[in-house]
Amino acid sequence: MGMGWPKSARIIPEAKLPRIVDGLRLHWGFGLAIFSAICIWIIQTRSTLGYEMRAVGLNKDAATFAGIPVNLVIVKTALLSGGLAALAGFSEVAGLKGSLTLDLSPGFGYTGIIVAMLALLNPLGVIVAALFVAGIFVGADSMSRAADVPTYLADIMLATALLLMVLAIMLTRFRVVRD
Amino acid sequence: MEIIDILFTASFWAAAIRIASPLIFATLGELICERAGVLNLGIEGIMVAGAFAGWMAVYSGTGLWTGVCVAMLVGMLFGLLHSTLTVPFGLSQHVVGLGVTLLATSSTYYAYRLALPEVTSPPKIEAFQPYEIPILSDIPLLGPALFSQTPLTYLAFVLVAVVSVVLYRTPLGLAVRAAGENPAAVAAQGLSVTAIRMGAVMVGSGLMAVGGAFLTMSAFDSFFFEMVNGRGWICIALVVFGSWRPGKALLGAVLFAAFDALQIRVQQTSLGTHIPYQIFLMMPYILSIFALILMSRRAEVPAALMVPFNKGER
Repeated sequence: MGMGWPKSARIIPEAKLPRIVDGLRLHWGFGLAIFSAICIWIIQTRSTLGYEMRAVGLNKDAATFAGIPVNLVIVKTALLSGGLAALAGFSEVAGLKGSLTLDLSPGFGYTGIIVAMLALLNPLGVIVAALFVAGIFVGADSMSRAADVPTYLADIMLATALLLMVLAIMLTRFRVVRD
Repeated sequence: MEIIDILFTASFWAAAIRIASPLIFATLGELICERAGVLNLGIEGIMVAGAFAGWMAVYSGTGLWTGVCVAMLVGMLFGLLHSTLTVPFGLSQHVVGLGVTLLATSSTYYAYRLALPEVTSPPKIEAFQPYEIPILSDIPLLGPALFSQTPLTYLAFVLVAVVSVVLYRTPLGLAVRAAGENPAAVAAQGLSVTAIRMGAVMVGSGLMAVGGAFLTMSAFDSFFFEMVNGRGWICIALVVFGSWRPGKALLGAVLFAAFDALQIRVQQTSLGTHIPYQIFLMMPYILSIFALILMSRRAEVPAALMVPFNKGER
């Protein structure tokens, strides 16, 4: 292999995620993502681990006092989050690309942080926020084709949205007073 | 052993110092921010912005030092944005930092595409040339390595001393350190924690931008996408490695750079023909993780790092 762009051999056809609709590139990785979001929502709101996760996140000291093993919960959460991130890579390879490439993720990890913030850290909100962010990316691509606008505009918009979102969250919690 | 031979060549150490220079600037910048209690994850993007701003200024016809100043100003602007959101508004420093990185990186790339729409390979500028310090550069091994560098490298080393003196020997440095350790005490002295923290973040961001500008104006002579390539994140680790002290941070930067310079050279020895080159690329990072684990046990984290301060709150 290897023609300047390093690329692995193609994965076996049986391992490929099937398309949802024939003729479109939309594959079952999307279904997997929705399913994961629902699972995480259930874990977060309906399980002991979810309760412990939220308790540790809100107040570590209070969680320790309540007998929650803080470090263990942090490690469990990190394992879960690492697994989910790996699923994202898996669905890109098995659903879209069909082989492993070096440019598999153009900063998806950082975009994930933005999506999480835009969703106000709600697993179900992540579905909506991710579709919004994806819309901006796809829109920027067609804008760059049609109107010659550099695609980096999409990232500028996302960064601005992220910063304004955290600002807006803060402003809804506090009242501005002059002293 | 070929590796031992490499360690005794002047070109190896010259390369190490050259690779260390942008890291020194940016690490000092991050260190100032964190000493005042603000974690600035905008570092990566601010370095990209500085790299472009300095290079663009020189490309449009200003002098090299003016370019450095332009880079610094652009860095300070992003520092102003970061500190406005994190200090008076007290927003999450992680999220704002990553937001600033994304904003600075993407607006830099956007500006680059707008300014030079038709180019395939970026134009070159007259970059800083090495300046051999008389007498000192004649010392064997040490001379060519330390004293035949570009002026920006000398500036980096001078700045380490300046930052140390200001931090530990002046009232201003005391105020900055206190803002990172016990902001309530600073407020009790009648000083403004907000002003100190915002000032520190702006100065620190300016230094980060100069670190970026070193890449386009001294190490290379043009601007490429992805040229900062994670150096900002390394600097965050270097601050921890240096236990929030400028001198130790300098040591860490040179150590990391030496490993980086070493791995390129080891790739070309007989070892390199047997082992995939990616293993060597990993080496500086693996070694810095180990160094971090060893060093961070004794690290003295600023007590109020990442803790927003609201005047009058108890």
